[in-house]
Amino acid sequence: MRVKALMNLRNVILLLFLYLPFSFSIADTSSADLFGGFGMSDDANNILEPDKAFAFNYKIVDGSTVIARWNIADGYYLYRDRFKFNIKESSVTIGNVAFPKGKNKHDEYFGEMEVYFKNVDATISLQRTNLASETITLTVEYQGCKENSICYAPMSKTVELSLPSANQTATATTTEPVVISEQDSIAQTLSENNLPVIVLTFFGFGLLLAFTPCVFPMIPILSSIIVGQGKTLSTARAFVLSLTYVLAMAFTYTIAGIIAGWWGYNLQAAFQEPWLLISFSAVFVFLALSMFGFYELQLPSALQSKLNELSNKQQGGSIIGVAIMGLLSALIVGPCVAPPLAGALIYISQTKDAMLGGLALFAMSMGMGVPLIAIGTSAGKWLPKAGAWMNVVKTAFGVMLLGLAIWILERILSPGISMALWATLFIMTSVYLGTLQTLPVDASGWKKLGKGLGIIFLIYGVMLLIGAATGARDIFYPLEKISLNGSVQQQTIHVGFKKIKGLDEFKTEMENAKTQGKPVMIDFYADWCVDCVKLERTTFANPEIVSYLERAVVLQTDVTPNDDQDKELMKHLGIIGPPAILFFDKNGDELKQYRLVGYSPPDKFMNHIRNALNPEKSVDSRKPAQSFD
Amino acid sequence: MKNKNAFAAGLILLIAGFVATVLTFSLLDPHVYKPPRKRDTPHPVEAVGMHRPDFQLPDMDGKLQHVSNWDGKVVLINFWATWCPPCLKEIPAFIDVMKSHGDKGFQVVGIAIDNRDDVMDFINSMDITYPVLWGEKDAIQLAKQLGNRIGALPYSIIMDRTGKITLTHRGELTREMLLKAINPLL
Repeated sequence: MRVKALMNLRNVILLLFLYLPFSFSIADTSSADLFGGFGMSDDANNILEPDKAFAFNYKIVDGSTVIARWNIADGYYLYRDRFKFNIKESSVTIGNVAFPKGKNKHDEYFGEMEVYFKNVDATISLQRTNLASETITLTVEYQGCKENSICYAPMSKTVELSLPSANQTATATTTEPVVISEQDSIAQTLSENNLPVIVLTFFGFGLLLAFTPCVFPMIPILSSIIVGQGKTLSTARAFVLSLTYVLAMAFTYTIAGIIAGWWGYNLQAAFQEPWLLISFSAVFVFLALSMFGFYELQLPSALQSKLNELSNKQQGGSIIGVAIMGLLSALIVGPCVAPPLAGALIYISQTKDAMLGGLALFAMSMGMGVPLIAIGTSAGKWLPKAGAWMNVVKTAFGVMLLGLAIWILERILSPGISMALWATLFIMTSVYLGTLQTLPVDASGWKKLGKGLGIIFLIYGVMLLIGAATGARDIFYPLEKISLNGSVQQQTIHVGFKKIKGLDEFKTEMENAKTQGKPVMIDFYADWCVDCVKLERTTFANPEIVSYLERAVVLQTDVTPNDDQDKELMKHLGIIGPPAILFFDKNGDELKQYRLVGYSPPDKFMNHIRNALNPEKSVDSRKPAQSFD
Repeated sequence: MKNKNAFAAGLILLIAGFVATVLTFSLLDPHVYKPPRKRDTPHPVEAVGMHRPDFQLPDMDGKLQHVSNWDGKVVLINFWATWCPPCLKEIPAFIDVMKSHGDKGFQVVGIAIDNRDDVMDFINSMDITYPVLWGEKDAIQLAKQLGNRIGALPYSIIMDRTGKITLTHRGELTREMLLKAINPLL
């Protein structure tokens, strides 16, 4: 039974390794309004450039289909009847152009008009006589207005499209797909679709999230609650408890999401306050110690009997406890799920539809909770009725809670110290597993397995100690600073970031870059941000990327302290938190469609910056052959 | 069993205290109620003070009209389009002011950036009494030359009797704004 508990622990660690990073980028034209959309007065000076109000993108689907997309800023719209498409001097002609159904807008002069808010995709079917791949020149014209303010003289964009051969699907090499990734598609899904689709989509996103370490801390919490219920636990009861826990968690996200969207309050920031993190960590250590049997948590007997009475009366006093645990757990893992949360929050702030936004977040957290419910419920079934096994399980949970305490503290501790803490945890666990004791000859298979695992823990713990001593930053690569011949490695190639702090320095650097005529990239980094560290280690250490980035001014701001200066800068740029990478063209205008949130591996990132920092491209995407000029 | 309950109860108390602290903290945090920050607005190209450029555009009968036709008058040039709601909102005021101030030397000239048939229909239904010229790309180009960098509609400029531009305005130009601008010039 001891081994079973350890297997659980090992599984959880495996899960950590299986972390599949999500990478997000914002192609949203109005996230400047993310936090400020409410107080905007409708004055005529506050008018976006046409390219910002109606950001045009396209995507080649296959040899005969092209999708033209406009991302429309909040409060702006395009007329359905006013689109025009034209192909210059080619055998290719435009067959049909399909539009989605627009919104009916009532006007006192025109009556009803069909218009598009937020975004519109026009699917262009091409008629081709020549089946080989070829390049065409497509011109699109469109007209739109800012609500109750002004309209724009007809706008147009001309783009060159390399069509693959007509019976072939487009591949990455022949076309230039529109840069749209998860976060954007979250926002897209929400604004395009109806309620059931939205809810289902978010449920799906939640399910995906459940397979990231974000949810990992919840497993020991929930399991300890279920175990804490004692021997009389039926499957039904376990299910009810798990469900309560998950519902409470979902409730927190729903509320948190709505509030965050409404006030622009940075939840992640709140959970970076050192005193808060230390308190959380202390609570977990406290709980862990009780799991190890150092003490039993007791209340004064008067209060205890009252509580007992209450719980007996309600047939489920502990349900409240479970619910509160669920609420808190959601807050703990909140920072971890910031990127997908950001997608939802962008949407909420755009629509100002709290009901829909709340519902979406609720669905997402329910998706996250499904595996938890499964684990919780089955625990009630799997676990035998009573016995010494419980102590083993409790001890295992104690270890996990200690791990959780370290994990929380990682955000404010230097990497060396937190790595040393991990090392201590692994080595001590190993000792308690009996690694250093001789197994009796007739030891059971379980015992042998336990010792095997103990030895692995011991070795890993020692590796971590070495890592801590040699300045490694990542517990998964404790020996990264040590090469095979035993010497400590020299500093390898790395992107030469200029470190900045606060809004003023940022503005100064932007001015400098403008005078130099260089584009700008800014990376938001924090020690506690797993993706940021990963980016540092992989993507920003890639020689190709390092040399490509030399054409730009590359800034980095370390928001680990998350002080007022950091908050001000993040708010100014409309960032929820790190990791985030923003790009600006040489005029100092942000290329919002190229915003990156989350981890991006070197090859993907290379592609991304090729588009974002290429001067011709950025000119192309922003001011392409304006035929009216 | 008793110990277990006690443990749970202790946990609940601990957590509840924590929740209360967190809530208090977030409510006290000034960021929650911070008013949204206004973004810097781009500087429009300055056309005020400039002498009017020479241009000619066709009127609704297809006859080319040169801007010098209205030299010596206080002229409001108004760029508009039939599909542009804020443009249509300001036109009745222009008709009125033209009626009341026309004999003092005030002249409105509309420039429609639109297709010709729509403009024709509209002029007839709206009883526009002042001349309306018509153009597409050339008219947009002209508007840009006159300081309308982003091609906003409606866009209005006012010229004094010497042809100097004294006011540019994008968005709806109200009767009050118009009167305030032209009265000193007449």
